Amino acid sequence: MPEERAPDVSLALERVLQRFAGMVRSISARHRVSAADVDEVMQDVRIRLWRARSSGEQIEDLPTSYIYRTTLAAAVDLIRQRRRGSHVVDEVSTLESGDVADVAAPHDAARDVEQGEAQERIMRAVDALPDARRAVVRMHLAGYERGEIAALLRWTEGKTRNLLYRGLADLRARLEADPNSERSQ
Amino acid sequence: MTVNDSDLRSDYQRALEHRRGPDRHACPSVEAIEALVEGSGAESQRLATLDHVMSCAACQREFELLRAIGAAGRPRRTALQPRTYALAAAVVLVVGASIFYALGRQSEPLLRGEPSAIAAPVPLTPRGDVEVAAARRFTWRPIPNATRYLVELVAPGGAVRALGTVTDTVWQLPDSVQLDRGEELEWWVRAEFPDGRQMRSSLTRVRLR
Repeated sequence: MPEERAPDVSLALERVLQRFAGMVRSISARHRVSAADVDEVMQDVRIRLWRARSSGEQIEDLPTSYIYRTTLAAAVDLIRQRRRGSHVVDEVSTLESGDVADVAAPHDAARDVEQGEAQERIMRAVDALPDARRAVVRMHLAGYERGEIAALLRWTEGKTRNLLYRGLADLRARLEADPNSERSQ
Repeated sequence: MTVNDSDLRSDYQRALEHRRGPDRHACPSVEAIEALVEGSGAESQRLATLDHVMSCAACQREFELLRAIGAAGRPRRTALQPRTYALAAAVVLVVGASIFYALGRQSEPLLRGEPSAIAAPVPLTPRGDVEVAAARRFTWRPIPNATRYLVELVAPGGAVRALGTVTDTVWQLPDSVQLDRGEELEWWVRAEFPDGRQMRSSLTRVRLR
């Protein structure tokens, strides 16, 4: 009589979760979402689905919309937990990424100041854009494709393209008009 | 000199990286980011949330996690034409009626796949209050044409204590799994058929004495 050692979760649950988690991971990979974050959320989803099952739910026949809702709720809870403890994380990350790097790597202070000013200029120019254009331009500059912007905002491709092009033109005009900008000279 | 798109992007992204950690008190609520991902609420509010999210690394990380989940869970939305709405409404009616009909007829145990006259496995032992020794041997009624059975022993919290796959209608709990007096457990068995369909028994509760 063949037997298997007990895994951490059942085959039924794994099948359901793998299908959904696979999609989440493939999308996450394109947008700098930590694999650890996804794993943490999916672990919570496992527990939630087990609890739901014990009250009579049939795991394998749960609709995707139910898995989606459960996963979204788990992610929202994870974010809330992290926000509650964010001051601790901020202190640690500041020490790791800021102070240590400064000690370890000597740098050109004048160049840093220059880069800092350039970055401030672009931020100021973006901040000055009209609302709808500003959000679209920020997404574009952060690396999102036009189709992704349109999908997120439920806009047509034409409206998105129009606002993005106008926003970018506006941004360039502001940067070129900035008397402190190297690129305006 | 006109700034090209690539320079704009790299300058902006460097500026974001060099911004100090945000004061999270100024960040939009998780619900606002969720509404942005879901496309719910006023557009002006969503634009304001998006504006912040795209200028705050911490919020962007949260947004991306929710967005990835949203993209996996929801069908891609496109601008629908009136005819498409009518077609969608018809499909919803047909599917809804089918589900309503199916739910009305269906009761546990559950059959996956096409309906048929095949029966569900019926757990025999153990059930109810049993001695620890008697709780190590699981039996159920045979199902015609079943190719194998999958048995799961589960703790009340949902954690799987043991799982076995057999072709017989008896499964002996591995020695590596320890059971203790006073424990309450549940188990079920699923019969699998040659075409991949499965028929699952109801959960059976066991209390060890």
